[in-house]
Amino acid sequence: MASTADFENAVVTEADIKDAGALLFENLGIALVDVDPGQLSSMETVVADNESPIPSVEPEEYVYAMKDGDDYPPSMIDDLYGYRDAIDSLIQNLDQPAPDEGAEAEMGVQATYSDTADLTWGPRATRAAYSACNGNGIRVAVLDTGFDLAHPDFAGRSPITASFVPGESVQDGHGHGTHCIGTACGPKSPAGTNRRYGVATNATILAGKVLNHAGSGTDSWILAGINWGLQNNAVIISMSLGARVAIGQGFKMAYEQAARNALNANSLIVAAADNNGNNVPVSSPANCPSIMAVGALNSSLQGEYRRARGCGVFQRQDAGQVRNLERHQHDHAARGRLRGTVGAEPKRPRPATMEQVARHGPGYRAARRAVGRRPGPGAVVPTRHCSPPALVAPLAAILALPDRPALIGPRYRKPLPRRPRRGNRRREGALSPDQPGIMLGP
Amino acid sequence: MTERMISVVLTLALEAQGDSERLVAELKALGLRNENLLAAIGIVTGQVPETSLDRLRAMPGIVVEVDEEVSILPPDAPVL
Repeated sequence: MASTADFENAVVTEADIKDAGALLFENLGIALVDVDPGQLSSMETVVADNESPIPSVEPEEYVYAMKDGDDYPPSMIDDLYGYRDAIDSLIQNLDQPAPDEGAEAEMGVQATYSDTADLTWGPRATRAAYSACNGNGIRVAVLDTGFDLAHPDFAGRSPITASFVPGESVQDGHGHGTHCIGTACGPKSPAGTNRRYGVATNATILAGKVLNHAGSGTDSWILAGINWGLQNNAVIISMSLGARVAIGQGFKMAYEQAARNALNANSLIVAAADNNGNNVPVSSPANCPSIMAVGALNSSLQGEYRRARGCGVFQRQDAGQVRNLERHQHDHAARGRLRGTVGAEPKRPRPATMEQVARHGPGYRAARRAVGRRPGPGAVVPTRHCSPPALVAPLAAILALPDRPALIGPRYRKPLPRRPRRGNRRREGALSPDQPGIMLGP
Repeated sequence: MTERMISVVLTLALEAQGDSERLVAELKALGLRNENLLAAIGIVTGQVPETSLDRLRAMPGIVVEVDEEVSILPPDAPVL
């Protein structure tokens, strides 16, 4: 086994380590190990053990420079366009034009959005207010604290409901679930005010209760809700919730598998990145590679303290949204003011349910197209495909080149790692820390 | 003294999903209770005796994760 510490200036080439079989990158806590294909599944079994000092084993892959005319799969091209457009959008937002006058400006990107007589700023900024689509026939599942079934703004909407909280009906005793459903699917002309706050005004609402009246739930309730959403053909499964994740902690395999099954069923899971601060990792389950993580922007389309680290972020929420929510609560549920928890997240269905469904049919691929081809303040990209701001400019420069240098391909379609087959002699040949060639993390 | 039960989320690998009913029966023999098979996503949730965890983790085709709490702020939390 070789170590980067053995080489001057830590410059190591493949030839240097040909005979060593393994190379430890001292400063990264990562080792490259040559193994037989048969050993890989054994290694994964070791890694799956929660107490294993090795958090993950991944096959080493080649990275290629991209050339025009190469025959890339459409999915990859889509991803690259989406990536480019999201970066364009971020740059555009960094370089805000002064607000213009008139109807065209109304629909264009503005520096700051405000409420008008008939619109809150959210539907304006996401351009839902100017879309010909209204979510008709689209099923949007919101997994949260339930739904206020007697809310006047939703009279005549016939939601499909289910509670996965033992001992509690779907009726919302908290307020957050009703708020999220309102933001995602609220009516065009809300009772009393006529000021629109909802996005997919005519979507079919699936209200799944996975958090109790106090706002708490468990992974198993949430997973049961996802399962229900898929069985009821939800195109979007929206979860404005999350558990804190420590730096270095991985995502949960259960949510990742659920999300991959959802993608295969043409359904997209969206979850809140985090609202707890700028310097915390994206929370669980939004940190899964196959879940779209979203965070908050304010009405000036700027990231706020609520944004989680590493999330490029994309929907927006500020006092205007919170007020709109408060109206919900005060008018009807007589609840206290809701803090702007993850309320940015439910606005996500605009590109995913309305525009793209109309143009491309339902599904994740279409959502990506819709998102990618519609740069602007509504651009949303999965967390794992986002770059921290410092990387945006260099990446944009790279993407603008006719002959693009290396880009690492998308990972979210990667199949689940193979587990040993049933009946295999498990652990046979499994690697132990004592064996040569296996490196443990620091 | 009753044994301590742990709430778990079991992710079934694709190979295991084909025969999930039999697998659940096998899991019940290991002490799985209040089981819920989520067929659309290949996941089983439930409670297992703490002493069965090691054997469960050793089963091929299954990833064992602890069922943890997720929460948002309580309804009376102040607006920041």
